[in-house]
Amino acid sequence: MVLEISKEQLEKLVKSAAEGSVEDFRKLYDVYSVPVYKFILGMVGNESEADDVTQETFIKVFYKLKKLKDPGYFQFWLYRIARNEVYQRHRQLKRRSEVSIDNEEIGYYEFISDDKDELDPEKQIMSRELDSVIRKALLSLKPKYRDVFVLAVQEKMSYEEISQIVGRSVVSVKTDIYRARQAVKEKLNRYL
Amino acid sequence: MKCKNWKIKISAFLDGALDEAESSKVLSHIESCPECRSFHQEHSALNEFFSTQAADAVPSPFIWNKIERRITSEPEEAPRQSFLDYLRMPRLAYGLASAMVLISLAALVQLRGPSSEELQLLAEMDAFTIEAQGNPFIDMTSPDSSNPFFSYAAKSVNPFDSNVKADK
Repeated sequence: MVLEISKEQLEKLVKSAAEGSVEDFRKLYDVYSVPVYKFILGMVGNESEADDVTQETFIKVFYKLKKLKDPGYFQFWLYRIARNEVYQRHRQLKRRSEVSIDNEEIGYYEFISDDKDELDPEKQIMSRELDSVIRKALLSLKPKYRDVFVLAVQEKMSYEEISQIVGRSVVSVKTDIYRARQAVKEKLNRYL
Repeated sequence: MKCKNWKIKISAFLDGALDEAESSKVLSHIESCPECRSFHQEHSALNEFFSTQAADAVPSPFIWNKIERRITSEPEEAPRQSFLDYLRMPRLAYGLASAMVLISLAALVQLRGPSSEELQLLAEMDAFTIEAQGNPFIDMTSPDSSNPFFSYAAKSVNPFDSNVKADK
């Protein structure tokens, strides 16, 4: 994961934000909000939901920053909080509705536009269909596979970094990513 | 090595998680194995797919304003007590410990089971109860204070004698 901030700068900002500096916390937000948002989006599959979870994640981070002993671990800790927020949201949604990804097929076909005035409608439909299918394929993964897959493939994190975030061994991360790949491919097989 | 293990390696290779030596082993295997070659091709395409899909995603520009409003206007959120925190409360800990001791004792008594004398007595009681239930001359309703095992002991009664009281 490449970030435009040095280790020293990061530690300084973390310490200052932990002491209550909103200005420095804003700087941390500027550095991390986009990658964390992308991770959350990959996990929840919906922009507005991802916005909400990102917001709650950073609020929680601000309040808990004092408890972070080593500022060098900030990014792992931040992703871990984001991941926990996603899981918490997932549990809440699951309680509200038990609709599985496979049961959303009707919604999926409704999503395809048949607007004839658009330029190159066939490509537009294909692209939307593909986006939707990919998103559904990702959402159909078990959360423990989804998080490592998103972190590896979208966030381009190393297996060691992922291991720090998810709290599992590097070997387990490696196997889980492989399984996630297999599962995604099975879901996408008929579209490939 | 089986293809499944090679595929796990190929998966790690696609994520840049292998060193140079391992990577070259994977590449030479891909050359010689059609199944793994196809796995590599498909998943390379999927990787590209997923990495470009979220490339332009950015959070709403209003999120920071909401965060700032919350962290500057609201007092620090009270930490939520976890189950372990509750366990650390001395009074509750003592209570739980006492309950555990009592439950263990009860379980021990249950596990010991009745002695052979108690079993024999229970068997006699069962046989007598079965016999008495179908017998109109035995009254099962009145308590017998002399018998410590029967709250309601059976007594012979004459069902045709209206003067016989149940508690006699």
